Amino acid sequence: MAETNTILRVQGLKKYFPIQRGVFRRTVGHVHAVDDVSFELTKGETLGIVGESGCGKTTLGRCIPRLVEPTDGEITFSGDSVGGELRVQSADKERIADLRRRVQMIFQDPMASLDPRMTIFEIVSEPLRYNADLTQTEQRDRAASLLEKTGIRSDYMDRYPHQFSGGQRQRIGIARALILEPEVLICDEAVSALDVSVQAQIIKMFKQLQEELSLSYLFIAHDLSVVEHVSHRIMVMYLGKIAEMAESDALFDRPRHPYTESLLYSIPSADPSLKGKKRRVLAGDVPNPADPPSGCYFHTRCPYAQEICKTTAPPLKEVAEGHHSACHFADTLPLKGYQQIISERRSEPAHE
Amino acid sequence: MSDHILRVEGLKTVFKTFSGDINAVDDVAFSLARNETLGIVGESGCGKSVTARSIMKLVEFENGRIDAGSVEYMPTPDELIDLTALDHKSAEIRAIRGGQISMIFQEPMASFNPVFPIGKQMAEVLVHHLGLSKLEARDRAIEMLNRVKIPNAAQRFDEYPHEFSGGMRQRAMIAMAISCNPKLLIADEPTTALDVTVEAQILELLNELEAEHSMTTIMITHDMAVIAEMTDNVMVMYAGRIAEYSSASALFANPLHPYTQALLKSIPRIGSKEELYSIEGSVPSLLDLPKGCYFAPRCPFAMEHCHTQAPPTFEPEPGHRVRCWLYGEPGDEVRAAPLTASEEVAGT
Ligand SMILES: Nc1ncnc2c1ncn2[C@@H]1O[C@H](COP(=O)(O)OP(=O)(O)O)[C@@H](O)[C@H]1O
Ligand SMILES: Nc1ncnc2c1ncn2[C@@H]1O[C@H](COP(=O)(O)OP(=O)(O)O)[C@@H](O)[C@H]1O
Ligand code: SF4
Ligand SMILES: [Mg+2]
Ligand SMILES: [Mg+2]
Repeated sequence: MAETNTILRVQGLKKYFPIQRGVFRRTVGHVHAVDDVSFELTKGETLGIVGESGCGKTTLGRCIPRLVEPTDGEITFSGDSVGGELRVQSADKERIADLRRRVQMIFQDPMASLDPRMTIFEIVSEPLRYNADLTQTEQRDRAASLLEKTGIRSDYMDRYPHQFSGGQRQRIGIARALILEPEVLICDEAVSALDVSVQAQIIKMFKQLQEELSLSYLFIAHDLSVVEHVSHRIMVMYLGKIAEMAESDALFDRPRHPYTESLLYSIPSADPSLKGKKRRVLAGDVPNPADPPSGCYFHTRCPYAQEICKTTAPPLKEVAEGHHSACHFADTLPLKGYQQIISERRSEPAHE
Repeated sequence: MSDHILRVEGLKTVFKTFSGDINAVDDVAFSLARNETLGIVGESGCGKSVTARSIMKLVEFENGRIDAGSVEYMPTPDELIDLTALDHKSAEIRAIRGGQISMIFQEPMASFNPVFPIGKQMAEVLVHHLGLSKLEARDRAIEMLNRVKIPNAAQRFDEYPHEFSGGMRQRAMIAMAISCNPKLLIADEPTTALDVTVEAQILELLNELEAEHSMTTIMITHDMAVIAEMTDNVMVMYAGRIAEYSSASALFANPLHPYTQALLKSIPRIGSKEELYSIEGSVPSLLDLPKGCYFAPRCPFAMEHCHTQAPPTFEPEPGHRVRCWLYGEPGDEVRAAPLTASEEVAGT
């Protein structure tokens, strides 16, 4: 990964939410929603982020454009439009505004982010009003071209959100996110609520936009098949920390963290030869993030845990080129890849 | 002859709305053999849940009515009750609903009242349907909570729904649904809102319970992977009608309906580098349905008459039914009540 191609660098990012109790709202502890996360995003790359709900994906995503104020850490943005680097930790107001222009978020529920009383044109062009000096006609032209790009007929521009389907509203949300020509899109479960046929349309569009506009994506989703399909690299999070991060193929072919392996065992597959076949399941629930386990956070559910896992937190280390794992035994455990798991499951007995 | 628990014929469910009557389920027909798991799959709004709520006589509690068809329920081989003929508030249907036929939902809070402890709610169901004493009901409820692997079940009996994690609430709902040994379990998107790890736990649990209790199940889902892993036979719905019906293995090996084919090509498969296929356009509004085949506007194979004449159901292979003009001409259609697909396949 050439240094010059890095568009976003996140180092030691932390977000602790205070837990408050009682009438005086005394702080009795902290939820470590994001706990010492570091990664880089390359221009034109899609980095997928997966993990069970509550593991900190959304908080991580929102910290980057500073929609959530990080507790600690450094976010460095080196986009095309501004010479030099933009350090978010020390950034002044103007630079934050610049950052928010260049990093846009797309959410799961397009309806929640679209004001029902505004027309599609008003919704899509709204960011322009604060950020660019354009005439009404110029704004309409720009909105029209983006709507067409995202597959909405521009003559629908004066209609209201409720006149559109869920998939169309997601397209409108994407057009709005693109209007300021951002360099990074953070897609937070952006296709999770969509039906498969619509999901396929939107995924295809994300890919086309990436090629045309050299966009970089942080693609947050809980559906691993979708993430595998769209991502170049994948980060697996557990209780606010990175458990594993690797090229997408490497992660699925040869996972290096027991949590990733457990996730691979869990994915249902559209393969009727698996009908009724027994599967290994990850038992129990995610521990309370306000009171995480000692040592390795995963040791309470890990099928391979040893004594050391209860006492010592494993650091995230590079176990193969570009392949990072936070497990004491990342080098030695014979963890199974997805295809191996599927063949193993095929040979399992069925229930009954 | 075969041993069926349910036979649905020509089911049509209509909702009255301000914008007009909505035909949410139209001409739905299928049978369900004892111990079978039938999948109902399709995109949101295609009529999966309404089919289930029609069987349970629940649509009448809304602005809905069953306009045509019958739902014959055979609790034992020599008993037959037409559920559509029962009043939705009758004692008879109330004894069946939640007891002999029970449902689990995507959102467990739909089954639990937030202001009562979970155990108490489970026990009430047992008292009502099985006539157990309070003490017996408590024991049985705890036994069921244990069975679905809720830790410290006896202690959690007195806890409220919000004190359970999402996955535990889902288990508790399943425990309640199967506590009366239902003859038929209808699971409506039971894993849709869950994390993949919890989804795997729940699917595994349902598989175990089906084997233990020789349960008959209708599994409603939008997820083809859940269909593949869980069901014997499948019904693919589109805009209120059955597009295709077959054994699950035949559906995946040889999908006939252009919609099913497209749907299977549009799901991302791990390890495949192929581009996703995307069906252009969107599902039609039930208030403004196309004249001929409902899929015609999006269908790559549509012929002229597809746009003007609604296709009937053909059966090009034994047990494999499809509502599409590619598979027959007027006069070829099947009219007889369908048997279950795998059974017909076995009979050839
Ligand atoms: N505004 C907030 N105040 C307090 N806790 C929060 C807040 N937002 C998120 N959290 C907590 O932080 C953790 C991570 O949440 P989130 O980032 O939403 O996870 P994910 O997106 O992976 O589901 C959770 O335990 C959640 O309850
Ligand atoms: N009470 C109701 N009144 C009006 N329309 C309804 C009602 N319930 C369901 N519908 C409509 O019936 C159609 C089928 O719904 P449903 O069976 O819930 O779909 P799904 O396949 O997603 O479960 C949808 O268009 C839905 O909007
Ligand atoms: S460090 Fe130990 S507990 Fe953690 S994942 Fe590795 S083996 Fe399991
Ligand atoms: Mg989230
Ligand atoms: Mg439904």
